[in-house]
Amino acid sequence: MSGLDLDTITEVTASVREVFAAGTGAAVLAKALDELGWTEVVEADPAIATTILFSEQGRALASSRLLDDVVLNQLGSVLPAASGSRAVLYPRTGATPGTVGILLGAVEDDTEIVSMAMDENGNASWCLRPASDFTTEAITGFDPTCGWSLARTSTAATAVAAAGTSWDDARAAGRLAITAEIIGVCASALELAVSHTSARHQYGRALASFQAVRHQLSESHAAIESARNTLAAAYAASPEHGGGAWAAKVAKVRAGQTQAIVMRRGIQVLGAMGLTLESEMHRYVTRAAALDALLGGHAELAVEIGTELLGGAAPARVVTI
Amino acid sequence: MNDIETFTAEVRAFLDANAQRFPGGEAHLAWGKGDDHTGYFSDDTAEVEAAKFAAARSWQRTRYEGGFGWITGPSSYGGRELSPVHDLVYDLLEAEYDVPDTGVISLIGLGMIGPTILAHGQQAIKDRYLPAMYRGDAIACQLFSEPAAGSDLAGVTTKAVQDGDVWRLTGQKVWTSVAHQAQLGMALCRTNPDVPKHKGITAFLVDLASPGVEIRPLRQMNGGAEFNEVFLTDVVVPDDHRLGEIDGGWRVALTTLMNERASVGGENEGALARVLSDGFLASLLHETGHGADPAARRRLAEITADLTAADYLNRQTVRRLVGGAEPGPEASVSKMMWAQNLTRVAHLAAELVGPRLTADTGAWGTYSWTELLLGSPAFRILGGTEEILKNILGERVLGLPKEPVAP
Ligand SMILES: Cc1cc2nc3c(=O)[nH]c(=O)nc-3n(C[C@H](O)[C@H](O)[C@H](O)COP(=O)(O)OP(=O)(O)OC[C@H]3O[C@@H](n4cnc5c(N)ncnc54)[C@H](O)[C@@H]3O)c2cc1C
Repeated sequence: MSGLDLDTITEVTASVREVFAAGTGAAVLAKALDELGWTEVVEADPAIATTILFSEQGRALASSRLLDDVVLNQLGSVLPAASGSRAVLYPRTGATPGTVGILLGAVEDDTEIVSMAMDENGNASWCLRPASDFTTEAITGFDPTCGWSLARTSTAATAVAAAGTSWDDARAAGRLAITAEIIGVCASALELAVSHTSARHQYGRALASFQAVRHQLSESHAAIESARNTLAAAYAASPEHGGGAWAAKVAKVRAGQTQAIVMRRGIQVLGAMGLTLESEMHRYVTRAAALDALLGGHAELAVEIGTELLGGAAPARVVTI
Repeated sequence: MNDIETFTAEVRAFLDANAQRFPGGEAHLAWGKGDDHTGYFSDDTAEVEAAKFAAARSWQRTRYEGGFGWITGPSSYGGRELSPVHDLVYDLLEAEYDVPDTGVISLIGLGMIGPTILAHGQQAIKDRYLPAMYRGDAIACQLFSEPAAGSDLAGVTTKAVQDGDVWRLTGQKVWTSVAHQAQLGMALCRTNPDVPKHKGITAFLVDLASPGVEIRPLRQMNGGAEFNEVFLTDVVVPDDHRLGEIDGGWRVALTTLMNERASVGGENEGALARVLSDGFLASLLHETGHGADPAARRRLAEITADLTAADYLNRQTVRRLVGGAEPGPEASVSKMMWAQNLTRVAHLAAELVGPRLTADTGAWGTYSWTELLLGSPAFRILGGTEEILKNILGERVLGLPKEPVAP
């Protein structure tokens, strides 16, 4: 059971929404959350707190390095104590981990970049390097407002700790947070589609009165609900391990599929209007796709899950009767 | 030699004399060759775009002077009075040569509006504009959609009021492709608000250089800016520029729309020809390390089957047209398949290319799929949305009862 009652959740959600609506920026965000008494919310129910925070970030199409905190939180006992600020270098499929990756926001020159590297035997370890070792290039083409950058380094790093299961834990926690963020992006996009099709008339009727249109909206809603529940179930699966690696993977796959459904339907029911930059729709589309690709896209993770199942993995039972 | 063989030889001679043939079959479509654009809509800079339009017009002129500018058109306008099959033969042969993509002038202007002017225009207008259009001198755009009239095209409210022997047009059109490069626009206007909506529309050919015409670009999410808003403020159009009868514009529009659905389904020039070719798609699997992936192979096979079916359907349609049939509602099947196939290719590519799609790392054939992925939703909307096409098939082909509409 949640340590937060429904009224509190509603209230906290509304406050976090206001924080994001006011615009982010790391310092502003941290201060606003502080004022909200965020630490207590997290203590009362870390899963719900993370879900609210990231859903609202998604809903507002905001970007921040909040995800770094979620990931680093799992590494407290693995990494040497930090002397200053740290940021996470997220791996990119197909690129050598540790030397090329994604940073989710601006970093200072002396920020320590935490990355995961893999030796030729497939042993993962954590590396620390100052941000000044990297060259960064803003990722602007696909989702110009994401604030992410592609970081590269040719500096070799010595491993500071073997990753062991901490990589799984960190990645799982990150995946659950991203799942929440994708759900937020989707919910917001669906709201846009609902209000557009309710307001716009063709053939003397609201677009949303045509079954072909309303079915698409209902399908989107069902997909979002499914993702929400998969996420909640993943958090319930194994709270002490940030939800458990397996359940987190399943949740991320579901979120990725959901965004594909919601965005495709959303764009379709907006007609030509949704294709122009004047509409917000394109921002939801590109942000959701970018988030889907972070820490493993849904197509790729689905293959992993299938392979693991065939290899004898037992899917975590989320409900015990 | 039969007529098609003679024609083929003639086309070959023309192309050999005026263009460079691609070496060896589909080699120019191969993976890693040339630029890796995948888009149907351009995201070119203004200069590059202007150069492409100039090249397209110049090639159209060469075609026209060589006798291939309007293969199915009347000889009085420089046409050859040949069948759509000859047209198709020409297209197939030309695809073997490295010539400018003329989609921007041919798809709408020559494919849709030219035939409409021919069918409904007054003599002086046909004489004046048709040769100019097919010679590549005048580009025509389609001023149909309005902010409040998209699917429900008959709801147009741009007003045309008769004033002696001219009309005065006032209103707003939107999503008008190529308007910024066009000299002419075919506009649907409200001429009688007091009758059922289909019965109070009149069509006009508008000279876009007229005072009162303002064209503003609209940017699309794939970065392209090739459609526009067009504002008409008290634009004077002579009565001889009216197409069809007064209040008879809906019939005129149907001619255009029939040609639109017929041509959109078969439009795979330029970058699309490459992304839809079997060899290129197979390379996509190999290059992304999915050559042995059974799921990817299965999807490749499904796409190939669908593309083959669509291709065959288009050719059958051409054959039926030659037999004297009018383009009918079955063209909706072709357009739907076209949109679905392109969408599937875009999604397959997105999955195979994976995260490399969202950040440009400079690797050939990775980030470039963004163009198709972000451009593909438009295929299910332009030229009649998928839902509308399905309604047409349901009601006009399957004979289903109509959906209830507000009175
Ligand atoms: C790339 C591009 C180029 C274009 N070029 C031109 C051009 O050159 N000239 C021009 O005039 N127009 C052009 N258009 C406009 C195009 O014709 C319209 O976008 C199209 O007709 C749909 O209208 P809409 O966008 O207003 O969508 P809407 O009509 O608002 O439709 C929104 C959604 O509601 C659905 N819907 C609407 N009515 C029904 C119904 N009765 N039953 C079920 N579902 C329904 C639609 O399918 C769609 O999903 C272009 C559009 C695009 C995308």
